[in-house]
Amino acid sequence: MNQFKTILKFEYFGYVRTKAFIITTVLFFVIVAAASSLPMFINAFNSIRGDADISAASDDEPSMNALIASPSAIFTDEVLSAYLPGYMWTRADNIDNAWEAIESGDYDLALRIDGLNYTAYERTTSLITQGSQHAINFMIKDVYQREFLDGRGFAADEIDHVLHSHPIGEIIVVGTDYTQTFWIGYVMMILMFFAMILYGQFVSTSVVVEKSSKAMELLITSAKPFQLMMGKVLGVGMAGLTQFGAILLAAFVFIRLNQASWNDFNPAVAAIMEMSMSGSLILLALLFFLFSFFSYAFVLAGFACTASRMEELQTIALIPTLIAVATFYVAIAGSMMPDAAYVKICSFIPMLSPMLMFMRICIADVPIAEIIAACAINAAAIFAFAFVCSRIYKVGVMLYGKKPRVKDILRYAFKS
Amino acid sequence: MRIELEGINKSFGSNHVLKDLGFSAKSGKAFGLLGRNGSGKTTTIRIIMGIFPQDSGRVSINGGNYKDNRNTIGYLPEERGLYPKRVIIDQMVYFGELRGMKSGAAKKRAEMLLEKLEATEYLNRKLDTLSKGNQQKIQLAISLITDPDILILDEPFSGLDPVNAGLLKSLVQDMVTAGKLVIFCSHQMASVEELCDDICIIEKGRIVLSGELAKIKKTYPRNRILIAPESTDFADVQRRLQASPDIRDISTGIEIAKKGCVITLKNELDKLRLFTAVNGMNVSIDTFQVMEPTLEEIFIEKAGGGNEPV
Repeated sequence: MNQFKTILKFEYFGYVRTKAFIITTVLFFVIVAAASSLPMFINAFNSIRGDADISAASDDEPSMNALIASPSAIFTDEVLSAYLPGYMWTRADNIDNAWEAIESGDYDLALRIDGLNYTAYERTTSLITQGSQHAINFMIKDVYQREFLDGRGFAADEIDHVLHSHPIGEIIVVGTDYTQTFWIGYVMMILMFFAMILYGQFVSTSVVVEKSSKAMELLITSAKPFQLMMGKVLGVGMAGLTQFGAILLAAFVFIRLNQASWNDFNPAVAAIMEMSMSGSLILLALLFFLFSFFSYAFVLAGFACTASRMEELQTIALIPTLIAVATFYVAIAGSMMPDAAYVKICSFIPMLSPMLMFMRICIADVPIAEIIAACAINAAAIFAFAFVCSRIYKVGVMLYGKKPRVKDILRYAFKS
Repeated sequence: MRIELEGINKSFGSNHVLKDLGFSAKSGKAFGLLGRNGSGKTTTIRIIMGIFPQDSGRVSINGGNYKDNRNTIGYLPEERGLYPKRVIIDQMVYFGELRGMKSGAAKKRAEMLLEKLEATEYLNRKLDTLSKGNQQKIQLAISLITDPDILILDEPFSGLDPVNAGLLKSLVQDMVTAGKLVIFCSHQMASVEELCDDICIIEKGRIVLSGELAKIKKTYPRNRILIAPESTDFADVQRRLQASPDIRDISTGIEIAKKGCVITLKNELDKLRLFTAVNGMNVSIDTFQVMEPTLEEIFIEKAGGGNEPV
């Protein structure tokens, strides 16, 4: 136990005391804090621009030209300007040459309406400007309904009442509010994936440095390989998670501080921040996050043990990286059908389990026994990965300078 | 302290590396484990250190195994290295703590060792800022951090300049004087000969010679005589010795060496006849000395003068 503590301390402080670690942590903290305060900066920028600009912009003078062809007289200039502001309308018998007219730049929109049917040609410069369909649909439907009701003798205020009455109410959720926890599961899934990919490499790099610097032989005569591997992965992993924690803290604190600005800027982000997590969900989130990170870190460390030089690491780390990516995609697919048999099975398979089980917990009723079973499987898997990893690590001494073959690795690992 | 190996066998796949190997070494001596490249020296040491197990046979350290005596053995591996980006004192304390020392004691011991190895100035430097030879000194200091009763050095002289090699030799001599056991694996026969009391030569995984070096030397024929003349014209002396019918009669050859001429006798009992013949030739001599075989000569004879360099 003392050796384990010594190794953990050495590995942890070996990382967090380096200049590179301190600089990147501070840099990430500042970038994330700035990004989390973005709406505040935008508001400040807008207020500096002054009222003149805003009033100029709000005049809303039509700046684009549009062509309309319709046998119906309902679509008057007033109607068109009300539903599709920003266009200067020109009437035509047909829009047969609309393509050329728009391509040449004479018009930005050409619209032919025949009853409830319509065809439109639209000039577009980006996805943002490509947005007339909804407005056209609304205009034709609204005008059609008004005409219909008007024909049956309804007064204008009655028509408005019928067409624009909206129910107001709320649903009080009894039990888990899955619309909230779904987003928590989704955010956690992304965090797990990023932690694995970003900080898993801390562990694998550390193993390869030890091998390439040839410190291994001295180490395994000074401590048990299992303790070395546990201390290394937990120590380096904790260093990575320290940085990750600092980044998350920056995001959390600065989004909270700018909550009002976020409400205007992006209500979805503000809504996620306003969600409340129960104590048990926080505990499970933390537990499955650690399961996810450390199972991946041990597997990655095991693969890294077979590399003698840093250049070999990228190729060797490809398999665990693909596993992490596959896990992420299975979890995304699983979030759409949490009760599917394959999702349930995968939520008990080591490496896949942390993401999938937590996602299941967030979007469906999972029996407590299944959660306990998943926790036990993950803990046992991490222990098993650490054991196998330490065997491969010890074998690494015999594989200096040789290209590792899976057959040799396994033979030496389980014979020694 | 005593290390004993009995009937050790080790194979890697179809390659039978150690064949029924056995020897013992005890405290107060320096022990040389010698052999050509690939003869099995490092494998033997790795088995002693518990890095991997033997297929059969027994290794005991004071009657127990390596794991029970981990902290009593200092080890300088052939494949050596430390953490290039870590501060030296931190690494030394780390290895001390791994071997059961308290942090404060490990730090004190590290400072003392670095002073002894004339490397105090590197205490707070990162390893990769040091030359290869100085890095080796740090590794040696780490192998001594627990003040071990047994020190195993695998190729300790490689990369050391003569001054640092001298430092290492004096350190080893101090340990032996203090009643500790030092085991050497080296190709540098002159250094081993200077330091070692006992040797063991391995060839293709088998022991071909083992025992006390002085006794081994005595078993070799003492038929080579060094004649160091007062004159420095060794070629002239060689010509005159070769011209003597008496000397031609009892010798197989006369060679010029560093200090004079070396005459190889057909029979080592003819020393007196040679002395009389040289006296009669009116050659004034400083030294008439029976030469012992060098360790290198013994090694070449036992380990074979094959194609591989020794």
